Amino acid sequence: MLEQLSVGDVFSDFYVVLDSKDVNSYLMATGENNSLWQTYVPPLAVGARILAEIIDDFGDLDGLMHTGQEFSFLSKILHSQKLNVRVEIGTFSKRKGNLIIAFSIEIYSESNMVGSGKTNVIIFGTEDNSNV
Amino acid sequence: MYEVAPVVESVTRLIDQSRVNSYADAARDHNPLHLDTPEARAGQFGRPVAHGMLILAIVSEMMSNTFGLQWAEQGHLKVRWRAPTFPPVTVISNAILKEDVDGIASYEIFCEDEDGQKLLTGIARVKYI
Repeated sequence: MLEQLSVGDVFSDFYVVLDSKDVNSYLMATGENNSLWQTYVPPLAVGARILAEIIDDFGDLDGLMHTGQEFSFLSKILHSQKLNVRVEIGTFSKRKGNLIIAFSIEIYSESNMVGSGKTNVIIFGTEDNSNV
Repeated sequence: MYEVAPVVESVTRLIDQSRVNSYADAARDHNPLHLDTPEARAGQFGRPVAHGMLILAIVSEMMSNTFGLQWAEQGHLKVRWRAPTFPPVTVISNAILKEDVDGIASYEIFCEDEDGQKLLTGIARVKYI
């Protein structure tokens, strides 16, 4: 499947909802303690959930490494606010048997964009490198 | 609200395996690379590696401590991970003001371990007016 990806392909399109329980679990895990997040969702909690969805779509995680990340936060997000996430292939290249992929992410609440980002991953040893 | 770009205070956090395990549950990222599993021990690092996003979370915490909801509404991050983070380790997140133009502050950000090894570098930008 991975070898068939090309730039502009929609990789994934899904909903994300983080409720108070999700946010509290995230805060407990990260150690962050800011009263803002009793009402709103920490921006990186949204990012973490999106990344988990992307990685989950790969199925086999062997050899996948997250190398870079970019986020623009455009709106505060309330607990339990429904977000629609669209992930496209931003860049895609093969080098020395490894795949280098950048996912472009757009996050919407209803029709409003509330965030965007780019996730860079490298997947080691996914193809025969005898021709590289 | 600030009239000029403020100093962003560092955040220090112990990243141990217990925290990594909790993060795996909270973020729903159970990649065995991060857990104390045979896969992690047989992998290229020979031991579990903390989630990169767990380290990045410290950066976002640092920025929201200073800018509050402005960070959630007008913040921008761009980072690269420079080295794997092996728990247990104390991670220090830092921000150095690089530019302050038209109410937009740009900071060089980095996370390092207690030995000064850079784990993550990048930029953070936020409109603070």
